[in-house]
Amino acid sequence: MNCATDSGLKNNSSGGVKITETTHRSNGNFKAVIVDYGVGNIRSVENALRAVATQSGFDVSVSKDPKALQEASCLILPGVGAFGDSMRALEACELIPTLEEEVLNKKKPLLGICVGYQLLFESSEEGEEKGFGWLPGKVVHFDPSIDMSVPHFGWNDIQVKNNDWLFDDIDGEKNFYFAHSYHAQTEGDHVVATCDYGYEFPVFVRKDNIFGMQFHPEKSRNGGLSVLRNFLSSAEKSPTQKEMQ
Amino acid sequence: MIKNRLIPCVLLKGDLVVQSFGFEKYLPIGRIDAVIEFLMNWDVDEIVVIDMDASLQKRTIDLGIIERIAQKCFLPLTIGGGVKDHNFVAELLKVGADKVVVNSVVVEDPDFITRISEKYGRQFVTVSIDAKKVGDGENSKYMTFTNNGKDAIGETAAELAQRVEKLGAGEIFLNSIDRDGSRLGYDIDLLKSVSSAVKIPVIACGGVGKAGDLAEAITLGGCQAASAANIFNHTELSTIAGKAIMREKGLPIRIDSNVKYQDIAFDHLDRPI
Repeated sequence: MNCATDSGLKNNSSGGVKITETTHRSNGNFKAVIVDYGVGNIRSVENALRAVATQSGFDVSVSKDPKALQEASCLILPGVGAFGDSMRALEACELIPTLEEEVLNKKKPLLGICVGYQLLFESSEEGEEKGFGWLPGKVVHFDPSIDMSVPHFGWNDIQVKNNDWLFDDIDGEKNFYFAHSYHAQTEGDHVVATCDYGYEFPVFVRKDNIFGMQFHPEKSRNGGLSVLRNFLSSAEKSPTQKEMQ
Repeated sequence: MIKNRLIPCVLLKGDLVVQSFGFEKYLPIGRIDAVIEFLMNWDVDEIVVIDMDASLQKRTIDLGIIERIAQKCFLPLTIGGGVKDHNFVAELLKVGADKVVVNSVVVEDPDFITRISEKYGRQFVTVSIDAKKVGDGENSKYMTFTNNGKDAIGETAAELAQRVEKLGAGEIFLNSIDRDGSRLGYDIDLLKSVSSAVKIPVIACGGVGKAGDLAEAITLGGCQAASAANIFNHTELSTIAGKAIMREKGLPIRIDSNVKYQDIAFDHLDRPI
């Protein structure tokens, strides 16, 4: 697979949007960088982060340049598509060593979304390629014996196990938008929240500076924006960020 | 628990939002930006936008429109209208679409469904099925059509749904041509025939006349999601409809709008139909 990204995209997106204009006024200290490896809903994630950034004064950018990833305060790894394709695309973009250095050694906060979350685990039934293996466990297809439609589409409740602060500002029900046929199998204190669809499975993890969510916060309206805002606020307070300043 | 979804469908003809009546008559609504803005604030679960003329006019839905609305839409955004080319799908994703809805490819290039399903995941591909009751009584069947209900495919809605499910479709967007714009409620038999034939989720559309109809997609039709188009676009008395009726009664009334409502009938609530 090629590292196919459109360098003209950012120019196209900058016109006429108040949200974009506001980010220019930010102090520039805190940079959230969305890792662009040519697959997935980069723009949806970008749009949502920019909406949050408007209130918080963050810089949001999209990049496949290793240097930009090194200069970032935190990283967002989005993804729609197949596990194998995504890993191959990251490899084609030569981003894997940079990501490993920034996340594992420099402890930079990283948030994986959907397939980007699945990549954090060791392997997947959806492809031969290995994942990052930063979190224990593997990604499996929904058990075909459940009497439910697969993919798991749409809005579902989640059950929060720990790290309640990630859900600050969400009043009432915590439900988010899901769209996936595979899910992670992992156990331990790093499981922040689970979801029930035929059976209970993890949908939100956090291990130190590594965060991941199976659902799409960028498509979960106000609740999703709150979770993104809470992640960014924590990243802003992280030790890595203090060192950089 | 997984939620049943309410998914407004925004119908475009080019850059204009329209209401559709029986796939034949159309009323202009206005700019899509305002429609997306109120839908975002009205707590809907997803939004589907379809340019219904795109395939017929051998073009694609306008990418600039999608890019603009995606910046304000923090909900899943499904886009249809001339989606039959791999490169165009990539373009749609880049401007902020989350899923695509395809229609004419079920005849022209069925493998396209498999190709994009394999590349982007099954959940990425919705197939819209437009069906119409053909024949009477026990011999009646729900036959499917492409090109805005003009070209018969030769398969029933259930057969087509099963075929595209095998090809890799993630959802079915099921519309009743007979009920489109009728305000009679969903064609429940149509919904049941498809929802019982496939495992993938079915989104019901066509015929919703009042808010209470929406629930029946799920309770009676066996679908996972309820959609409607016209009802979410000022089905209350509009100023122009009011003026058109006043003029019809012989009153001297100035109508300055491009829309005159001249050949349009009105229902018992004086909504254009």
